[in-house]
Amino acid sequence: MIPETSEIMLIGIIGSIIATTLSLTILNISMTHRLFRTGITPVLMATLLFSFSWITSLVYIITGTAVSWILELTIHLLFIGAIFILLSIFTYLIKIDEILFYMRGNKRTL
Amino acid sequence: MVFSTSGIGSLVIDVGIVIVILVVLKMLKIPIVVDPFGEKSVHLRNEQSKDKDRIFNKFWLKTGRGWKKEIIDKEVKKGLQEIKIVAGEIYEGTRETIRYCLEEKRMKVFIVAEQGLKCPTEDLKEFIANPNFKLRISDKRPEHHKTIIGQNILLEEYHTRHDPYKKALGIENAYADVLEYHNDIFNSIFRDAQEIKSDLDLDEKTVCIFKPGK
Repeated sequence: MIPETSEIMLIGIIGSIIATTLSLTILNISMTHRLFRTGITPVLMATLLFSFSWITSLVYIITGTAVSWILELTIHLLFIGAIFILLSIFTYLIKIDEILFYMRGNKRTL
Repeated sequence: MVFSTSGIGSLVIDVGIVIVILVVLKMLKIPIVVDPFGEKSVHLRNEQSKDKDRIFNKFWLKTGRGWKKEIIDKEVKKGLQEIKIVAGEIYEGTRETIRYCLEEKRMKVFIVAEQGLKCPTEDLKEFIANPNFKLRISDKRPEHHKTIIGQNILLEEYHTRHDPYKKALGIENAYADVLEYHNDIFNSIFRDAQEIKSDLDLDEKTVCIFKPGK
């Protein structure tokens, strides 16, 4: 069963809002805690992309046009943003050994 | 239909876009993996360690001594004139670093260590005779040993008196707050420790309990 365009659009809009909120939260944590600073660049990229996806969703709602490329663009932006979130988790995993090593003796500076 | 492609096709496009963005970031010199402590931090190994994973580490980790030498060379070119060391004992690696700084680089060496340095008396007397060598002995064993070379810090893994460290963390161009924290620790330990001005201050209990082969 193929979902209708409006249904996908609804998912796109809700997805964009959730993703943007989530990435903004992660960005805030990355900026305030040294431990999570490792993946700040990919998270920043993801936040930008999620914000764009939110804008494209808004454009779709305002114009009311059933243009499928706006819909596809939104989904692509969400997907690329998700890849960047995964990348930021990966960067954190790369550094986790060093962070744990440092934490053992120097908790005050973290 | 700008993006109309199959599932796998669109996945490939998305991954491709991510790669392009990463390449652009790299070209703009924006770091993708930001170091939490400074410009770059790396794990280091100790040549003297009898650790089980020593052989494995040998292939991919630099030695602490090698890293320190590399950093000292780089910093001396920039005009650095002093090195600060918090140590438990003056093992072979530390002695080599001290000798390198004093004799080849003409740097000031500030070192604070615990009683019983595990250092040959001749070497210690030679160091103390150098006016650039400032040694202080702490009553309490400093828990975390470190070497501060300008803005670079080498942090040793916690180790007991009888075993040298196995792993260390080398931080290049540490962030100001990290550097300040470690400098404060050094200064407080150094301030409270007893100064050794000449070899007359040395006695068996305080400094030299070195036994060859131990």
